[in-house]
Amino acid sequence: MSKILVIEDEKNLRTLYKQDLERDGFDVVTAATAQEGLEMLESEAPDLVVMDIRLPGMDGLEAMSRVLDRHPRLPVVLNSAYSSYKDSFMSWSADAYVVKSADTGDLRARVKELVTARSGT
Amino acid sequence: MESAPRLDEHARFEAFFPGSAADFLRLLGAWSIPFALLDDRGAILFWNRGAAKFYGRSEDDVLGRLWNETVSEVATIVPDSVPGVRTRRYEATHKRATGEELAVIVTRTDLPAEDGTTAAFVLVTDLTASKKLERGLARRVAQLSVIREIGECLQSAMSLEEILRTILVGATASQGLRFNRAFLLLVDERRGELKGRDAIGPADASEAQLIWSRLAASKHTLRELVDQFEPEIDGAPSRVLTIARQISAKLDDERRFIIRTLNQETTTRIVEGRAVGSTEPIPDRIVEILGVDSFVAVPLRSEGRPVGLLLADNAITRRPISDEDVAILELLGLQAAHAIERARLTDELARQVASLAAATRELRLNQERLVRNERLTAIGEMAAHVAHEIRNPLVAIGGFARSLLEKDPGHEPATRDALAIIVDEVRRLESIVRDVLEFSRPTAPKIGRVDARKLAEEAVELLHAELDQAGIAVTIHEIPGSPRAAADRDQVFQAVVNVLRNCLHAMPRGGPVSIRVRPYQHGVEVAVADSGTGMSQEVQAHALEPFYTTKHDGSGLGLTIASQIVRDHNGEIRIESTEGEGTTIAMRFPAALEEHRV
Repeated sequence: MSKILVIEDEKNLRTLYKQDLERDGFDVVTAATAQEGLEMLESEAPDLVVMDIRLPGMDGLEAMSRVLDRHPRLPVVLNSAYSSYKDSFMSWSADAYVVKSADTGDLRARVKELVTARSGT
Repeated sequence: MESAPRLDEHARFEAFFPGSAADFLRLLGAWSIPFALLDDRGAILFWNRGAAKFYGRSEDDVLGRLWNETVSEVATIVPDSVPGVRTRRYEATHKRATGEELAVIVTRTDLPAEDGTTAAFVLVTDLTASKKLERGLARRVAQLSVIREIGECLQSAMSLEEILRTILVGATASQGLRFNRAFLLLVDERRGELKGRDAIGPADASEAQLIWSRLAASKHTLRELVDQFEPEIDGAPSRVLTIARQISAKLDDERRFIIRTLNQETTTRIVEGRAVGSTEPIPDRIVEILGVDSFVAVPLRSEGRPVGLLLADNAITRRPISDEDVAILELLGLQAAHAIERARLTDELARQVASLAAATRELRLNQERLVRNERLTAIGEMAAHVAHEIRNPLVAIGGFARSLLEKDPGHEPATRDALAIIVDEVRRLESIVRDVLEFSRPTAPKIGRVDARKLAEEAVELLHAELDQAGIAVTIHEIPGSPRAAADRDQVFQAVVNVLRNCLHAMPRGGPVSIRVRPYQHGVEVAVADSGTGMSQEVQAHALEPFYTTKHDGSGLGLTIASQIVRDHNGEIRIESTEGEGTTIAMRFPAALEEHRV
C-alpha cells in the first residue's frame, strides 16, 4: 500500500485529505508544520508528499526544496489556495500543482496518477 | 508733265477757297495731324504733311486720286447720318503705303460750294496706338482674372501638394501664364536647405507638341487642369520633376544663385546667362541643370520669411520673357508664398493640436488609473484578506459534505439533498473567493504575442460544459488581417472567460453568442455579443465596478477583473447594451509588433 504524507497546517483539512485519500486506498500520514513533515519524511518514508505552500514556520516552497534535496525522485504535489504560485520558478519543480478546493477530485486524481507512475518504474 | 495736274488741282483748290481761306489751308499744311481736302468726287485736293507722314505717301503721290482708294478706307463703325449736320465721325481702317493697317477715326465735314458742288474736309485721328493700348489692357485684365482664378484654386486647396500643383499649372497653362516650364523650390527649415519639390513642363519639343495639342483640343478650366494633373507618367517621375529634384542648396550657401535670389526680395530675370539690370555674374549650376540660359526666378516670401523659389522658362518655344510676363509671375508668386505658408501653418497647427490632445488624453487616463488603482488596492487588500480567511474553512465544509455523499450512499433522501445543497453553495462561494483573489492579484502583465482568436476558442472550450448546459451556441469570427495582441496570455484568457461567464448569466434561456476578432486602430478588438437580457443604462454605468452584481450567485468581480486586465494592457473596454436584445462587450488590446519573417 502506497504511503502519502500530507503536510497541512489546518487541522480540518488534514482530516479531510486523510479521509479522502484513505478511501482511495492509500496509507496516509499527516504533519501540521514543515519541520514535522521533514522529520516524518525520514521516519515514515512516504511514496508521495502533498503539501501546502503557506506553512507556519517555514515557507512551503523552501520545505519542498529540502524534501527534494534529500529525496530527488519523490513526487511532490503542491496544494495551495493561490493560483498565483503556479508561475513561481520554485513550483515548477513540483510534480503537480493543485488549487485548493472543496472538490478534492483533482488532488486525488493527481496523487493516483503520480503513485501509479512511480510504482510502474 | 507731272506738275500739270498739280497746277490744275491748285486752280480748283483756289476756286473752292479764295484768298484768305487758302492761306489758312497752307497753315494746316504744316500741321502734324493728318488732314485732307476732297472735291465733290472724292478726289484729293489737299494733303498735309501730317497725312504724308501718317500714310507714308507724299502730296505728289496722292493729289487728284480718290481718297477711298488712296487710304484703302473700310469704315468699321458708321453712325447714322443726321439731316442738316454736315460733320460725321466714323471709325475705319486705313492702310499705309507699306500695307500696314491703321485704326482711325475719320472726321468728315461737307463744304457746299457756291456752284452747288460739295467738297469735304477730312481729319484723321490715329487710333492704332490706343487700340494697341486697349489690346494690352484686355490682356492685362485677362491675366488678372487668371491670377484671380488661381487665387481661388489656392484658397480652396486642401493640401500643400494641391497648392504646389495649382501654382505650377497656373504658371504654365494656356489659360494661365503660358510659360513653357515651371519649377518650385521650397525651404526646408529643419534641414536648412532649399530644395526642388515639384515641376511641370514638357521634356522636349515633341512632348510639348503632344501635350499642348491635346490641351488645346480640350477646353478645360484651370481648376479641371489642376485636378487632372498627374505628376508621374506611367509611375516614373516626369523629366522636369527629375530636374527639379536635382536642385538643392544649403540655406547659408550665399555663393549659390538660388540662395541669393531667395534672400533678396526682388525677382531676377536671367537672359542669356546674365541677370538683367545687374552685374550679377552668370548663375552657377542652375543654368546647367535647367538646360536654359534665360529664365525668371521669383522669390516666394511670406511675412518677410523666405518660403521658396518659383522658376519659369520658355525652354521649348524660346519665346523671350517680357516685362509683362515677369510682372504677372510676380503676382502669382505673391499668392503662392501666402498659400504655401498657410498650408505649412495649418499642418503645423494640426500636428500640435493632435499632440496636445494626445497628451491631455494620456494625462487624464493616467489620473483615472491612479485613482482607480488606489481605490482598488484598498478594496483588493481587504477582499484578499477576507477571501483567504474563509477559503480553508470552505474547503473543509464542502470537502466533508462531498465526502459524506461519497462514503455513504445510503443516506436518507432528505439528508442527501441537504448535503448536495452544501456542496453546491460551497462551490459558489469558492468561485467568489477565487474571483476576489484573482482581482487582488498584483501581477503586472507579462507581454507576449497573443492570438486572440485562438484564445477565444480555448475560453469557449473551457466553459464548454456550462455553455452547452445553458443552451448557448458560440460562434467565433476573425476579420482577416487582425493583428496579434501585445498581451499577457493568461490574463487575456481570464478576461475572455469572465466576459463569457457574464453571457451565461445574461442568457438564462440560451441562444447565440458571437465573438468577433477584428483590427481596431493600432490594435485588435475582441467583441463578445450575447443575445441575452441586456443591461439598463443604470446597470451599464456600474457594470465594471467591483462587487456590483445583479446576479444571485455572482461575485460582482468578473467584469471588473476583465476591465482591470484590459486597462493594465493600456487597452480599453466598451459595453454596448440594449435591454431585451443583448449586450456586446468589446475589449481592445494594442497590437504586437510584426514578427520578422525569414
